[in-house]
Amino acid sequence: MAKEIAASQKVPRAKARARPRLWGSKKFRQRVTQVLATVLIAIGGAVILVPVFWMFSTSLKTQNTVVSLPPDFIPRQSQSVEVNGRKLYLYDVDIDGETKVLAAVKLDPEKSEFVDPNDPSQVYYTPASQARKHKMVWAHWENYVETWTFATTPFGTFMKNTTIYALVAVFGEVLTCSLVSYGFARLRAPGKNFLFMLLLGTMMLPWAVTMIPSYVLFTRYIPDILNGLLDTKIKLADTWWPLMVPKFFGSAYLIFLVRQFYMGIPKDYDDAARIDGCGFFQTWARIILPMSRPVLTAVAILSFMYHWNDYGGPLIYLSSTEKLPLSVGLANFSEAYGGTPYHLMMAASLIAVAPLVIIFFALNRYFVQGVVVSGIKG
Amino acid sequence: MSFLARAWPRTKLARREALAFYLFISPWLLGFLAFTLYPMLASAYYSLTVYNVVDMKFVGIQNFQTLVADDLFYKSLWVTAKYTFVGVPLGITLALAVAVLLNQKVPFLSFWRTIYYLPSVITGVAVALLWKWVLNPQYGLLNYLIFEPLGIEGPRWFWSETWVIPAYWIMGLWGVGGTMVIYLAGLQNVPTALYEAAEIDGASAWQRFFKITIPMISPVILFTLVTNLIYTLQVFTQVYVVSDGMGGPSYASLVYVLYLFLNGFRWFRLGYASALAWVLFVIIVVLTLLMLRASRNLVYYETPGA
Repeated sequence: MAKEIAASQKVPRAKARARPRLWGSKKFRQRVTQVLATVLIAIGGAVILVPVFWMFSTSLKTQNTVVSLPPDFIPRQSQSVEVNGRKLYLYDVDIDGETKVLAAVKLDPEKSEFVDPNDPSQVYYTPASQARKHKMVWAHWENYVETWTFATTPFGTFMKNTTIYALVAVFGEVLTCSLVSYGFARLRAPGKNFLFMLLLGTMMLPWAVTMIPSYVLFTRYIPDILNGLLDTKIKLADTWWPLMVPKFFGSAYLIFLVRQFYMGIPKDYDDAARIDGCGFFQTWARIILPMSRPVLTAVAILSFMYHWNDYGGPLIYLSSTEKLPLSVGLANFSEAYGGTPYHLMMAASLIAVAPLVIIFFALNRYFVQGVVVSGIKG
Repeated sequence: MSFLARAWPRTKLARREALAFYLFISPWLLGFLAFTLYPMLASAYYSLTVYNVVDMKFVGIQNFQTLVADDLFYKSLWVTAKYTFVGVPLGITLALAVAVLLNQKVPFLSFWRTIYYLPSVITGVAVALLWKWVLNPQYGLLNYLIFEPLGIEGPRWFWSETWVIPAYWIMGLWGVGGTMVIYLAGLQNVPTALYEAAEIDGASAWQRFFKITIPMISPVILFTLVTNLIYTLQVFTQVYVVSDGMGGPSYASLVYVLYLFLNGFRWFRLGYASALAWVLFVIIVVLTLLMLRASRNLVYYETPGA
């Protein structure tokens, strides 16, 4: 019996030895995997970056060059010169194996006429197939100025509104989430588990369910109650209040994240603080809060990103142009401008995302950390 | 009441702690009552009324009767299902593949990770406009780079009933970095000892991936599956921006929440919109519970009893 097992174990070993030496070596296989992975990653990276580059390149073109065919990766356009009082286009012309930049007097499949723009007496004749429009790189940076100063969509105002909204929301959510999470992570009370399940359950609730009653609540009931009590004429429709106030009541997802982090802090810290005479609030403010910088930074970034891009909420509550955030202003831009000026739309989009992208590259480390916190503990 | 008496702590210290707990969570609790529970109940009631912001009339289950006979309701369900049930598995698979690649020892690793995550930062309107331009049938980049060299006329993407939803899949795949980073973190938590042991036992790379990697990160896969599904079923911004709030062409991109939004805020049929919202809520809850149940034997948790 024992011999049989030993014999059967020998078979695969012998096979392994019979494999070709090169592929069999672990080092070689690792090297191949690494090269393959690098190539695939680079291709994927290109797929991600090409649209961004295309966006940037489009933003520097003109209304005409945007729709020139074939699409050009670089903002280029044809040139014209004045020769003997006539406006002529410049062409790259192949003449005797040499490419010259010439002005076209007449284009003809058989015999086109070109002149040297510097010396109009020099005339060349060649079939049109030998000539291509001469294009010069020409970046229209003024597109950004035109977009920024376009009166119907004041992007400066939009950016101010979005910045205020995002900062208020970050402040409200970070503060509230930190407080609420401390309760859920540290303190014992009857009903706590039920309330925590309720908190998790609300994450499944679609925004669509609460959207309509919240709208009615904020634009009708709350102003009616306030005006009845205070004898005022408050209106909350077309104001930022309905969007900002709820941020000070926490967000289920962020509370969950911070709570998971707090669960990881040893309880000995709390006990030590308690022995030194700290109350619950002091323990939170002096011990837990200073220790939770990484998770709160991550939460702040997630919240900032969300509110910078938020579209649905502002779309419902806001209507006057001077109150709109970047997201809605950007979406309205092409209609306000008339037609689809893709070069300006791309310039506007880049203006709208630039602050986020700058923050992203500056705080890159924390971004990934935030996702890690959010993903794994879930 | 006797339940409360039993549950309420006896010692003074424990009572103080319970009080502190309710004080700490009071912002969330008040917010929950005012901005979640009340709207939920109100929405349930609205769904039984005809309501146009000014006048409200109780009509019982009439909205739901209208709903089961509403062609656009079925259309929007079908469009959303097509977008979600293909888009989410596609996204999750690609995210996992990219994460596995970025978990190898390749040069400029942190640079690549940054690049892959970048599109998740600039979500929303700007991305919608960008893809509307990239997928422009005539002047757009994608058709020029891929279909032009093949000599085929490229799809009309957002302007075609057949291709509009695939266009949104592509748009979603571009932002796959968000899910990818979660997997990357999951992969880094798998103990290397498992791989070393498997290698000594002669397991191939495929075997190691399917027998170690997948089971070890199965909780993360479940998490991303559930959250992405809930999120994707509620897709709105991209479609609203790209289709100018119409869900065109011929309602081929009329996703569910867009149809709901149009009912509520364009046609002021708030009651009907609330009925639609509740149907969506039920769908999300049922799907989530189904997935959690189905995954019970498929997901591996390291800590016993978790």
